[in-house]
Amino acid sequence: MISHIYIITMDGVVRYSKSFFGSTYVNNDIISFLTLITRVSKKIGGGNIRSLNFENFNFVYDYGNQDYVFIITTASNDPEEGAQEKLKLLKEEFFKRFNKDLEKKIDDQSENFKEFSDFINEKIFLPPKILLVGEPGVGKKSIMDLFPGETVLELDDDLNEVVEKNVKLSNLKGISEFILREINFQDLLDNFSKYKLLIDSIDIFCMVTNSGAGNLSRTKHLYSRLKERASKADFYIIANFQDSVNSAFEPSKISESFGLKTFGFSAIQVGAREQIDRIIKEILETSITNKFENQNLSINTIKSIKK
Amino acid sequence: MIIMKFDENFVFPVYINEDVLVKIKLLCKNFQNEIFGYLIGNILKWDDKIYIKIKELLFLLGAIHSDKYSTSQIEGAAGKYERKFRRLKKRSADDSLRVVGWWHSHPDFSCFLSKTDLKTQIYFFPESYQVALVVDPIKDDLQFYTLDKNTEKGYKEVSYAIIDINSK
Repeated sequence: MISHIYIITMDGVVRYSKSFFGSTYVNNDIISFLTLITRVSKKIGGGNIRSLNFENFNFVYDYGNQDYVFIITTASNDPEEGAQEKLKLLKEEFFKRFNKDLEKKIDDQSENFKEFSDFINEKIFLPPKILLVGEPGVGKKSIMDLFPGETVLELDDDLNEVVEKNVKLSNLKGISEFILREINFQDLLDNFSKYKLLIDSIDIFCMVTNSGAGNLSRTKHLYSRLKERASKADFYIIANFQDSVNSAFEPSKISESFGLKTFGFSAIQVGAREQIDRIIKEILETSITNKFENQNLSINTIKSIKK
Repeated sequence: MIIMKFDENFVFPVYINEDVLVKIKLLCKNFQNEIFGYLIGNILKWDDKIYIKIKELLFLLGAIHSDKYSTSQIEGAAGKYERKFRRLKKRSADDSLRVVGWWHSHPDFSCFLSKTDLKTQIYFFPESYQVALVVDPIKDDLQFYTLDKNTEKGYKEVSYAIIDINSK
């Protein structure tokens, strides 16, 4: 997932920057760090940087000409090839729009500049992807239906059919939409090679359970298999059917058993729409917004250690 | 528009040429078994900080890496690797080339150093700058490690920069 875009000159002038998640201010320390690294690495590494790889995130580079560097920040589990494709697209569009103005100061209030941001939102930005996984009948479809918008049958990169919905969000800093998908847990794992690209592309897995003993036991087993395959994604549990007081385990017990944050839920109760909205926002805040905010902290930590 | 000041000297502990990494990833992908080889490059200094620049790789067919063997069979293969390294040094006319670490694959079992890997690192690559590169070709993941006595595991992940040497 791309979290930041930077277009900077080798002299350290920021020509464009955009943050998709978390705070939107331009972090001068990061720009300074990236520019410095680019120059130092050219000197000591003997060539242009293609990527800088840290524990939780990467900076992927492309070069427009001798003066311009295009950099995007991705999560460390994102395939570098995908990031390189986006960078190529970004670079081509930047030069197409601004080639004549490169000598002058680019007016970031201009219509052209605003259109460039629209282009980035449409073509470069990748919304976070949440996959609801669970056995048949646990309420995946009911949860999907609680969100407004059309549910569509999409084909993923391997031409597998996936039920998905593009959900618009308000009141969440930096994230205006996310993609919600649902799939049968057993089917996903039994056909791992078929769904590998789908699994790799998921940021957050929400395991939906009916909170009953049998389903929880099977879900735990399936989770142990999925965790190995998707080691860098985040996992949560939505403990549905909490209205079934006689058979449903409490969210705290489920959380203890799985070692995962668990949200109690009932898709049929009044207020379910608002409740699932709150749950998804909390998940996105924890796994996306806060994580990318922490990237900024990490960079500053690296700098202070290495000084 | 923001103008920056440059007043720091940051250096990555590892710089690796992109073509070397591509070759290693391809080798790991093409072999179902665990395989290993050497990483060859320069040991350099920038502002009193030591870093390595990986410029070449060595690989021998049949060099198997497995937990079945106590030290990744490097011992058995070391003589052959040494000869190959000497030839490489002669060919490149770069006398400063050194063995800066090793690489091996973990097909579908993620990136980490097993006990055998750690033993291999301690016996054969004990210097602070020497790295172990682990590649999981199935999960499409890779990571560099160095020894670190201060950690519980005895090793730590290190950050790295990939360099395109053809675009000087």
